[in-house]
Amino acid sequence: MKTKLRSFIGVTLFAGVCSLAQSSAAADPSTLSGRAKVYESLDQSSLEHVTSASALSTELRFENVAPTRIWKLLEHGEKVECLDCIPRVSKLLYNSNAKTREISAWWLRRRIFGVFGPGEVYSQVIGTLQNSDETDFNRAYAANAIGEFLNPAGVPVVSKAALSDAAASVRLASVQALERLNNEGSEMAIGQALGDSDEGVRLAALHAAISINVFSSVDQILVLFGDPSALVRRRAAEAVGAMKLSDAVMGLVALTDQRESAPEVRAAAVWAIGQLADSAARPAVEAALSDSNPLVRNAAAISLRRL
Amino acid sequence: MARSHSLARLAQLGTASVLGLLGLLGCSSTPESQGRGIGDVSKIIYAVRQHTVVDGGKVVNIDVASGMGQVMDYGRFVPGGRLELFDLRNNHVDNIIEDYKTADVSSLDLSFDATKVVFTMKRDESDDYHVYWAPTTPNAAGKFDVTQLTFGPYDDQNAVFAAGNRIVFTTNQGYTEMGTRADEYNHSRRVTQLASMTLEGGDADRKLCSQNLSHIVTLFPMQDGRIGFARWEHLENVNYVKLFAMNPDCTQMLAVGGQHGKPGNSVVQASEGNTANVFYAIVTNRENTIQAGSLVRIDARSAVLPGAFDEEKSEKEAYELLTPNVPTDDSESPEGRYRSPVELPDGRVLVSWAEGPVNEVSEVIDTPPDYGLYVFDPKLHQRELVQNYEDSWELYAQPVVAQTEPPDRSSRQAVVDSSTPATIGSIDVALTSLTSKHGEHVSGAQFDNATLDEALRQAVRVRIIEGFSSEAANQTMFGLTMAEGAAILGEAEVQTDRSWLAQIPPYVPVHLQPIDEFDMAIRSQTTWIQGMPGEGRVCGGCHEDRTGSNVGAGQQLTIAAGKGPQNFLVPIKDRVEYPWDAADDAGNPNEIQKILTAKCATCHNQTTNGNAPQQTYTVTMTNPTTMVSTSYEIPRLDLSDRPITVTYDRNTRAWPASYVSLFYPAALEMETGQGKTTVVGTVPPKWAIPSDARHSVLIEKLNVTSSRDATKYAWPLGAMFSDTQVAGGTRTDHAAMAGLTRDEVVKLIRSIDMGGQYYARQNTAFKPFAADPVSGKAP
Repeated sequence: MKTKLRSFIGVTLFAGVCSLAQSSAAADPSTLSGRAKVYESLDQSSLEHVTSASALSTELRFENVAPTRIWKLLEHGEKVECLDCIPRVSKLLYNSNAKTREISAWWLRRRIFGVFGPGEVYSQVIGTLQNSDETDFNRAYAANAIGEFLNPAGVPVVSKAALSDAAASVRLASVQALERLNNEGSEMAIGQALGDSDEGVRLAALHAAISINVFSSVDQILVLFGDPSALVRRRAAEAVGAMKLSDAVMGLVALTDQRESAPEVRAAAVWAIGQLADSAARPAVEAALSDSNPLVRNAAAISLRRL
Repeated sequence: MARSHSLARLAQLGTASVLGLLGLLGCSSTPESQGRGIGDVSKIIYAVRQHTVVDGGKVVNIDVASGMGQVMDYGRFVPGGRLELFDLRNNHVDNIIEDYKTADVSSLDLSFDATKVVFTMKRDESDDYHVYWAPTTPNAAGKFDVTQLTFGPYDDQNAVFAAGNRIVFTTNQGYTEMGTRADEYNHSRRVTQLASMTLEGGDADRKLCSQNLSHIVTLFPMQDGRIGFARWEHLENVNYVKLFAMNPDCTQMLAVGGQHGKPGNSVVQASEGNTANVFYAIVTNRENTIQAGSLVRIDARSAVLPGAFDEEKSEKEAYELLTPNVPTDDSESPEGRYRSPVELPDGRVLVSWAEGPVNEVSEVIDTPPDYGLYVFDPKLHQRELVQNYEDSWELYAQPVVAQTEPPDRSSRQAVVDSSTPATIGSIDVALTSLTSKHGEHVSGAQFDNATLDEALRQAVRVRIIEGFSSEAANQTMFGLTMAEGAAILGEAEVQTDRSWLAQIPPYVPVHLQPIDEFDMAIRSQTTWIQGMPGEGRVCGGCHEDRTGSNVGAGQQLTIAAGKGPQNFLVPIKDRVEYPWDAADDAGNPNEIQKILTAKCATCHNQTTNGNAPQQTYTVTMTNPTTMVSTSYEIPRLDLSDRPITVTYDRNTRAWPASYVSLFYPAALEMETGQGKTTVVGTVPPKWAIPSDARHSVLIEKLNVTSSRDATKYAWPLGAMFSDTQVAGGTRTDHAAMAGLTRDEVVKLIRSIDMGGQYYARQNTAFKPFAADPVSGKAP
């Protein structure tokens, strides 16, 4: 929630809208199907209110709605078919608040009509990412949205952006989109992104590598043991531990001694060795019991129990 | 660190006043073991959390609701957190994590002897939340020795002590063959589940518990040795947070309260009071209240069984709102909101509180709520200040008081092997309190407002349905439905004594449907259940009376037990799913569209609907900015696979007309109605209602025979259809007329009863992880 001065008038106006929404949301469902059927034996006060279509279309007109209010309106409106709301929500895909963008995409992707047809929201977002005349922000936000739409059709588009967009922020957002899409990308884009010149992109690719179901470029993770960024080295060691890449044990051993300047990296390497349960690395872990950093010693004590 | 004016006033009152607030008499710095809830309070421990980042004297960020932003949040991080020990005798404050200036602390819990604190901390922005512990007394150098217990690229939080120096916590690590569960209804975010370890072994003893499909948060130890927690129950249309408990070895996960009525949507941040099975908690909305709400006391004690809790208690029986002026929803509060209550030895409640609206209004005016620590007197309904810094939140406070260590329940289950099944079953499936206590009835087909007791006597099998979400199907929503992904693990036979027993994969969340002779669900369970490897979870019946005895229908050993459990331990790829269309395996016999194309689409297609021309209705959207309208034409009943002109969900390819045709009428009424969607034409009957084949007009139209008597129909022939819109007027064996076999009709029934999903793992190219994340074995 970035700070931004908002006017008292806006607050007052907003409060009025709130009350309208409350009264509308409190109305009982009119049919006993879906939610109403499931909850028919429970008091309505037990349940969360469902956003009405009118609340969605009315409140989202205003500039000064609190992010948490927007999130609630959309989340509680997950099954409210409001076609007229789609244009308003689609604008929120480019909101400065990341979660507002995420939840807006979530709401949109659950719509039955109006989003995925020719020329509709999804294709517009694809076009934004592919348009180099758009700002870096807009292209990055478009990549975010493509990821949140979880549509496999977006994989080639964000893969290309992950590898070739001029802006690191767009490449990073595109890698994150691939993670959301649970896909390593065309031409194994996440694996290639591990070698990106930007630290943030490499970190995003490491995070994606341990999160998606199929990741084929594990060798590229081991290369990052020599990365100039301590944070990347640490995350690479953790990724190896999480993925239980037994071939990496000697590389991890090299990260455990004091020649590795960052204690967080040493601790991560020691922990990862424990995850691999390879007793060949036991001397290195025993040595780490004498490390100057207490967290490395903690990690060593725990890893030794697995070796 | 700035103190608030309120605290300054408190300081003026002097130490004695503070001590008086906490009932300090003859206070001692050494915790005394006098039993839980007995003993003096000389110190409290709490976390100080930041919300505002200031750089160069300028506010650069205010964060009250990041992470996942709801009452189940586990991700919010703002640097500058502290873990403070406050000595009430002299106002001395120690910061246990003073060496971690950029850290944030998300939970804490004291050991039963009050000599250790376990807490979860993220050291800096680039770190993850992990579990640490420290002594509550400093070393000779005046420092607190902090020990890290968990590591790795995931968040471990909500850590609490269990007996025997065990620690139970939540984690979002990858804990299934499908990765970390990613509840679609939580935007496919990584879901927190339970895990345990020892204080000595930390990660080396890490053991994962059986799973829920959505988040588990705010754990608390119980006097009987169990661990309580708040669980987000999201099963199709069910969507709330309630209290659960389990043994520290992850067995016997049971509801404690909130399932049959509560004063609000979410019951969170509970702790057990001085009396066993009496809890203090926060009731609030699922989001938008900055994780705060109204203070409530929950008396879950069984009226019949001493020492037991009774989850069937109604809202009126169990819940007492201690702060009735505080809304239990997310509306603006006239009296502030509360967080993290803990009962003190004298019966008052140590709690965090902030004044103001404490909802999105706080956010829109850029005024974060200021949570401070207070003692709330439930009798006088008064609140008195203990500690408050004006620019931070003081949360999760606990009195540093020794308690009697609960009995150690940790030895029952020690197997870490996902190939060892859990066993579930019922002694008598017809034993139920669903009608007598909760007013549920069954209608549709042979039932007309029948009691569950009557209806369940007609159960012939129990369908066991595995739930999964977007982590598995690599998809978002599963179609025009709120149901999760679903696969049938098996249908266990109900024996003549109405018992049943089955072995299922451990760890996996399932829900049950007792089914009748027509293969239709009599009821669809709305709670996920699960078991650990080797765990037995045999119930009395189908939601039997929790206070009554569970007596089988004939003999001591049920027939199902005598026969032995049916084995449903099936690999993921072999589980029964009903992909609607485009199955990955072209030979998949359960693809629904194949059946419809072969047997139905000849008459029900783009041009014809039975003997008549196809009809359509139109839904229209208007862009309020451009005033351009777009219309979508939906056929009344087109069961072909032709791609219709509309596109829905997040898929750019067109979907088969059959799916839209069958499910859209019910989707229109799924929540509050049509909203602002303009409909022109006649919306057809609800052909298919997710999870409700019994009321789905398609099934009534087709009709189905008994699995035991081929001449017996679910809907008597010749009678009027329940919906007068249905062509033909009276019921027939339309399935037979169309050439559908009974087996094919049952597939349609199952597909609808399971939730009416379009997607399954079997039409989304799903591949499980090669490694077994539960056992920790390398691939």
